[in-house]
Amino acid sequence: MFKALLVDDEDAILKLLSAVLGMHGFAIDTASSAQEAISKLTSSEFDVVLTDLRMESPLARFDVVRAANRLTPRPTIVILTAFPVPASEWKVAGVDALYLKGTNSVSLPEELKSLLAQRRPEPPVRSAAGARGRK
Amino acid sequence: MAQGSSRLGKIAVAIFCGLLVGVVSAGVHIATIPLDRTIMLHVAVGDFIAALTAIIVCLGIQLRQEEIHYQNSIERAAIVAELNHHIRNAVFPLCLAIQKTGDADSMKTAQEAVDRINIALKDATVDALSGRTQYSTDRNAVKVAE
Repeated sequence: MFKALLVDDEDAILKLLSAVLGMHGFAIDTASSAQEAISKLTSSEFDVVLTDLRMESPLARFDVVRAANRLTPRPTIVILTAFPVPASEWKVAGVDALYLKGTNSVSLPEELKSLLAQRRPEPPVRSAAGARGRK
Repeated sequence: MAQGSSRLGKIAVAIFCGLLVGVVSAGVHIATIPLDRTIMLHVAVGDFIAALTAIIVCLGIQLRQEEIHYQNSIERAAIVAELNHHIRNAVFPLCLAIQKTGDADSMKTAQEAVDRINIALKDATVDALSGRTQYSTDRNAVKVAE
């Protein structure tokens, strides 16, 4: 199970996206501001951080991203925004992916999972025959 | 390439305006001033300066027009971007709410609606930036509304 921190200043999005990602096996924690997200990031460990860019202040755009980038191990960082920024800007900021609100939300959980699998490959599963052979 | 030819066109228009001013003023002077070599030389220099001034003024006017055009484009882009932001923020919870129900038909319908909204937003962005569409004076739009 992947642990995700969801950061958005809109309660409806927080509640609904938590529920949808929860249905797909994510353990969700939420924050409704950049400040709250930064304090949660310092107190808990997350596999993925999904954050909006426009929250309490226009200057708080990449605050959560910067805070997440400083962590070890660094979580996967995904921007979830309705106000797209140029790829050069978010890639330089250390973001792994940008997801545009209002596009295909159905594929979001699976895209997140594949992104997490790319960053943190699971250990290879031994085949039953191989396991028996060792014994 | 288009921008370069546009710039050359503007310079050509300015030079044409300058030549027009120079030729007209020279013609008027030749017709009205007695043919004295010294006076004519002074007048010719004056006409040449008038032509140069006309070129500079013409280029200045065109530059100002361009500046206003870009300023309007930036304002329109900002309005469209803000509109885009609000619509996407409003649509996203709706999609999530439908996704939460798990009903495949509803999700398909929602996705089609979102795709249509996205196409409309892209078209509106292009129209707004190009400034070709005047929604307020579009008579067809009024007819449809009626």
